[in-house]
Amino acid sequence: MSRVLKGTLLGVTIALSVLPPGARGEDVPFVDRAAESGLDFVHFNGMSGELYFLETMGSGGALVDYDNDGDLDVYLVQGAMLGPGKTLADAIVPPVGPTPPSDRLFRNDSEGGELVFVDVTERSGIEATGYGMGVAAGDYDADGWVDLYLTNFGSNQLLRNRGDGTFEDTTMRAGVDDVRWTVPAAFVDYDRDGLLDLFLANYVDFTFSRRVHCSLPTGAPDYCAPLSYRPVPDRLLRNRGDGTFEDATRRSGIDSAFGNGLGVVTADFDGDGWIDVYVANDMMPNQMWINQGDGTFRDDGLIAGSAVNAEGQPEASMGVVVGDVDADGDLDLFMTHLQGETNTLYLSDGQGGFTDETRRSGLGQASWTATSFGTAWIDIENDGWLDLIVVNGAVSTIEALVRAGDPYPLHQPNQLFRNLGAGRFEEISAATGELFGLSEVSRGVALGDVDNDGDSDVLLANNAGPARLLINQRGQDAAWLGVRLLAGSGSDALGARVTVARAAGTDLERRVQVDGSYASSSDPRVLVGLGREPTVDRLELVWPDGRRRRWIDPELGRYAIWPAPGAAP
Amino acid sequence: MTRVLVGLALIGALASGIAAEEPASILRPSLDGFEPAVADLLRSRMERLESLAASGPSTDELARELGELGRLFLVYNLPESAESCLARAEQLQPDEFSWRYLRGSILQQRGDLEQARAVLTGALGLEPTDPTVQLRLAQIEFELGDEERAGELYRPLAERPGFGAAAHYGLGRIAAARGDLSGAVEHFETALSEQPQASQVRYQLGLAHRGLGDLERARELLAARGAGQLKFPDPEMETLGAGAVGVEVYLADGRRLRNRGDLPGAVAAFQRAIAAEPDEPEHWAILGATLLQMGRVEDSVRAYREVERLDPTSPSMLYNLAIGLIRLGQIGEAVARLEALVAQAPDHVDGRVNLATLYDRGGRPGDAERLLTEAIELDPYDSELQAQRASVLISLGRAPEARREMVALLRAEPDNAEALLVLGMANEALGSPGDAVAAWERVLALGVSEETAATAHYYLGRSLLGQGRSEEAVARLQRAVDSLPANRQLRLTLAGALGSRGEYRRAVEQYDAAIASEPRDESARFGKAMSLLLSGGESAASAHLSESVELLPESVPLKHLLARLLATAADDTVRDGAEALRLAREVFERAQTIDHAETVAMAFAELGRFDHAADWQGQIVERARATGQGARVPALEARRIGYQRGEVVRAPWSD
Repeated sequence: MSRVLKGTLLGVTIALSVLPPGARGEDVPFVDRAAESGLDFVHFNGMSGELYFLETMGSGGALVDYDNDGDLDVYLVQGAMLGPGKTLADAIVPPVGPTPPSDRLFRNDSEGGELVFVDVTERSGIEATGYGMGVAAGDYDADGWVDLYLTNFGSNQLLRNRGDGTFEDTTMRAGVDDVRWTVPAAFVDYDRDGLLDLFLANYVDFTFSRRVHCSLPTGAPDYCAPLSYRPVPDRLLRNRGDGTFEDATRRSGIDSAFGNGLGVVTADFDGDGWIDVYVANDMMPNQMWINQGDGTFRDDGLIAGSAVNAEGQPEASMGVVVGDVDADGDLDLFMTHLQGETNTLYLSDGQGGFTDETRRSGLGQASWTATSFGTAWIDIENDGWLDLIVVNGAVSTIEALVRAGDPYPLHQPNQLFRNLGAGRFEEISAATGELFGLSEVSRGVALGDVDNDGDSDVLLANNAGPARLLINQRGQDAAWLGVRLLAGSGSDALGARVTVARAAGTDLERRVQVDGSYASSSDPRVLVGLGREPTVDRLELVWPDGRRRRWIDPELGRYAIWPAPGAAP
Repeated sequence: MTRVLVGLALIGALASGIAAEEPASILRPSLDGFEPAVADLLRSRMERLESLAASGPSTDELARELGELGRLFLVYNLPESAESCLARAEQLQPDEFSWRYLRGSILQQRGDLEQARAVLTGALGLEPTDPTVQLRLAQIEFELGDEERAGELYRPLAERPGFGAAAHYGLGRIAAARGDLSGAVEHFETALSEQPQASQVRYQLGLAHRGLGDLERARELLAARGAGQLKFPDPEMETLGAGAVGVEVYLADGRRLRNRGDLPGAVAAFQRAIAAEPDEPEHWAILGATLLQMGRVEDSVRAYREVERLDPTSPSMLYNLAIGLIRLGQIGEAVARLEALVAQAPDHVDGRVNLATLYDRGGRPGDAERLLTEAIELDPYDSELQAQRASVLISLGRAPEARREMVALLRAEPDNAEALLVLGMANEALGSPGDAVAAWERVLALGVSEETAATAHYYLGRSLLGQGRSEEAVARLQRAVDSLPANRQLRLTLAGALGSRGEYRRAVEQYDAAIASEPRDESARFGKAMSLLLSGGESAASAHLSESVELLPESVPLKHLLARLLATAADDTVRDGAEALRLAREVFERAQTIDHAETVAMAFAELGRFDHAADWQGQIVERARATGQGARVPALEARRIGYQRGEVVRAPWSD
C-alpha cells in the first residue's frame, strides 16, 4: 500500500478520560496504587515447609481490556495448596482473600480521576483454581473480544470472552489443554492466516511422587534447581478458525529442540515479515525459532548468537523481552537470569544476528546479586528511550535472610534502569523512592497505560505477596502518541509494527506486543514517548500480513484506533 | 545485613590491641537445618575463635584463625560469612596474600567487580608475579571495560605453563570486542589447542567465524560447543576443602572431581559419603552412575543393588540397574527391573522403550508393540519411538501398517532418517526390494551421521545378499563395518556374507575382531570355527573350539561342533573318539535332537564300536520318521548301513 493517507480521516481518533496525576513525588517515578484502587490481590503459593520447587515459580498477570470500554482491566493468576494430602491448614502463610484461592479478574471502573478496580471474578464466570503460573491474552475466535489462556502446573485453561462480561471455559472443545507444567504462553499468528495460534513453553517434569530432595553444601534442605528434573517439550497449536486448534508441534519442527521453558516472546527477528518465536529456557540453551514462511520453524539460536551467553554457557533464563533499545531500527533481546549470572542483553545486527553486549551495557554487574524474573522495556519519562524494569526474587535460600530467620528467605528488591542511549544503561533504583527498596519475591510484570494518561504503568505480580500497581508519575509530562492497531476482525493486530519518523532524532520502532516478560500479558496499544520537543513527521503502520498505512502529522496526546486497511472503521 | 558479634571477648581483644575504628564482627551463619557433623564442626570452630580471642592472642594468631574459618565457610558455600572473616583477617594481617586473594575471588564470583579489583590489586602488590591473581584481575578488567589493562595482564600469562589457554581466550575476547576477528580466531584456536576439552572456547571461535562470513565453519563450531571450561592452577581455591567434613562436601567434592574427569577420585569421595551415611540410597546411586561411567559395570550393578535394597521402588535405580544388567548380559534380571519400573512409574518413557526393545529381542514383539504404543501416547513428538514401533509391527507381520505410519511420518518430516530406514524394512517385508533399496539410498543421500549411514549400508547389504548379489552386499557391509568398527552385529553379518562367497580367510578376520571386542560372543566363535573348517583348517578349528568350550562350557552349539569335529576330522592328529563321545553324550543329554544323536553315533564309529553306532543310527532313523522328517531318512539310513559295514564318517559337513 503506497497511498499516503491523512491519518485522522481513516483512523478513528478517540479522546480518553485522562486521570489527573494525583500526588506526585518530584523524584518518584512510580507510586503503588493497588490497595487504594481496590486491587486487593495477595498471591498464595501453597508452601507448607516441604520446599516444593514449584512454590517459588508463580505467577503472572495481565493488563487486558476484556470489556472493550477503553481502559485496562487486571487479571491476576493465583496459586493453590501444594502437596498430596495438604490442606489450607498446612499453609505456612495462609491465603488472603477468597478461598479456595483462585485467579481474579478486576474491572477498571476508574472515573473522574479516581483509579478504581472492582473484583468481577464471580460474575465473569471464571473458575480458575488450578495451580496457576501465567496468562496470555488474545482474541482467538476473532470476535473482537479478547480471550485468556491460563497456564498451570497441570491442565491449562482457555477462557473465551462471550462479550457480555462473562467467560466460558472452551479448553476441551478447542483442544488446547496441556497437562504438563506450562509457564508462559503466547498468542501468535505464525502462518499469517489472520487467526491467532498458540505457543506453549513447558517447563520440567516435576511430580510430587517423583520429587527430588535437594540440599545445600551444609546439608540444609533447599529448593531444587530445574536440572534435577527433565525438560518437557513445547507445543505449537494452530488455530483452525472454527474454534478448535490442531497440534502443529511436529509439522512445524518445534519438537526438534526444547528446554526448561520459562519465557516466550514473538517478533520478526530476521525482518522477513514472518513472526518468529524466542523461547527462554532455564539453565539450558534458548531457542530462536525462525519462521520459514511455510509453516515450519528452524532453531537458529546458536548461529544467531542468542542461545547462550558470551562465554558460550546456557543461563537460567526466566523472563524475556524484545524491543529496539538502541534505536537502530531492529529488535534487541533482553532476558533475566539467576543470581550469580548476569541478566543478558543481546543487541541485534538487523539481519538475524545478535551479540551479547551485557558487559558494555551496564546491565550486567547490577544483576549479579539478584534472581530476576519479569521484565519490561518502559519509557518512564516518555523521552523516546526504552528504560528497563527488572523484578527479582530468589529461587534458593539467601544466606543473609536465613541468618536473620526469615520464614521465606527469597525476597530481593526490584530494579529500574535508565536508558542512556547506544545500548548503555544506568541503574536508578536507589533514587526512585520506596518502591524499589521493597524486598519481595516478584515474578510477573505487565505493562500498560492503566490510567490512560499517556505513560506506561506497571502491574507487578508477587509470589506469596500482594500484587502492586505502579502508576507512572513522570511520563505524562512529555509528549506522546498512542495507537491501537486492529486486525480485520477488530481484535488487536499482535505483531504489527509502528515506525515513528521524526524530523529530529532517529526513527522509533515499536510493536503491538502483549507477550514477553514472565508469564504475563501487557497492553496491546503502542505508546510512544516523544520527549519535550516532539518532531513527528509521520507514522508508518505495518500489519502482520504486510499491509501498510502511513499517517502524516499524527495527533499527539491521544490514542488513535487504526483498523486494518480495507476493514470498516 | 545482620551482623552478629563474635563474643564480647573478641571485641575486647580487637578493640584493645588492634583496630578500634570498625566493629570487629563476623557474620555467623544460622546452623539450623545443617547436617549435624557440619553444624558441630562450624560451631566448634566458631567457639575456638571466641576462646582464642578471649585469650589475648597475637594479631597473627587471630588473623589465621579468622582466615581459616573464612576458608571453611567458603567450602560450605557461605560466602557472606566467609568474606566477613577474611576481611577481618586481612585487616589484622595485611601482608598475608591468602586472605586478600580469597576475598577478592569471593567478590569476583559475587559480581562485585569494583571491590574485587581493589582487593585483588592489593593481593598482586604482595605477590607481583602470582599468575592466578593476574589472571583473575585480567578477567575483571575486561568485564569492567578496561580492555587495555586486561590485555597487559593477559599477554605475559600466555607464555606461563598452565595459564596459556585461559590467557589466549581472554586475548581473543579482547580482539573480538575490538573487531579484530582474525586475531580473535588465532587466540581462540591456540587456547583450544592447549586445552581441547575446553569446549566453551568453540562458542566464541564460532562467533568469530560467523563475523568473518564463514557460516559453515561457524555452525560446525557452535554445534560442538559445550560446558567444558578453561582450567588454570588455583592453589588457594583447590585446597579449600581440606579438613571439611559433611556428606554434602564429600558429594560436592565427588561431583567436582567427576566433572574434572578424575573418576577414581570421585569414586573415593562418594565412598566417603557412603561411609558417613551408608543407608542413603542417593549416595549409592551416584557411586553406581560414576562406576558405570568408568566402565566398571559389575561394580556399578553392585552399587545399584544397594540402592535397590534401601529404596526398592526408586525409578532411577530401577532404570540404571537395568541398564547395567543389560550390559552384563543378564537380560532376565534387566527385564524384571524394567517391568517394575514401568509399574512404578508408568510415564517413564525411556524405561518403556528399553523394556520394549528387550521384549522384541526376546521374541515378544506383541508386548513390545504395546509398550511402544503407550510410550508414544506419553511422548507424541518422538519420531524415533514411532519408527521403533513400526519396526516391531514388521516383526509382528503388520508391515502394511508399518509402511502406512512411516509414510505419514515422512509426509511431516521428509528427511527423517529413522522413518526411511523402517520404511525400507517394511517395503522389503512386503516384497518390494526395489522400494526398500530406494528408501535406504535416500537415507545415505541425506548426509546423516556415521551411525545412521552404517545402518543404511547394513540393510542394503543384507537385502543384496538376499538377492544373491553377494559382491555388492559385501561392499556395503564392509562400509558399515568401517563406519562402526565396534559393532559386532555388523561384523558377523559381513563375515557371513564373506563366507557365502567362500572368502573364509576374510570371514575369520571379522570373527576375530568380534571375538576381540567380546570374547564370550558364542556366534562369533561358532562362525569362526565353521569358517576354519570349511577352509580346511581342522587343526586350527579344533584348537579354537577347545578354547571356546573352555570359556563357554554351557554352550551347546560349540560343544557339539567340537564333538563332531573330534569324531569325524579327516586329519588324524585332530580326531579323538573318546573325547568326542564324552562331549557328544553331554550335548545329547542337554538337547535330544537328531543331529546330536548322530554325533554320538559318529563317535561310537570312530571308537570302532560300530554295533553301537548302527543301533543309535537305527533309532535316529525311526525318530526322523516319527517326527515328520522323512526327507532326511534316506541319508540317515545310508549312514546306518555304513556303520553296519564298519565304515567311519569322514565328511561331517556335507549336510
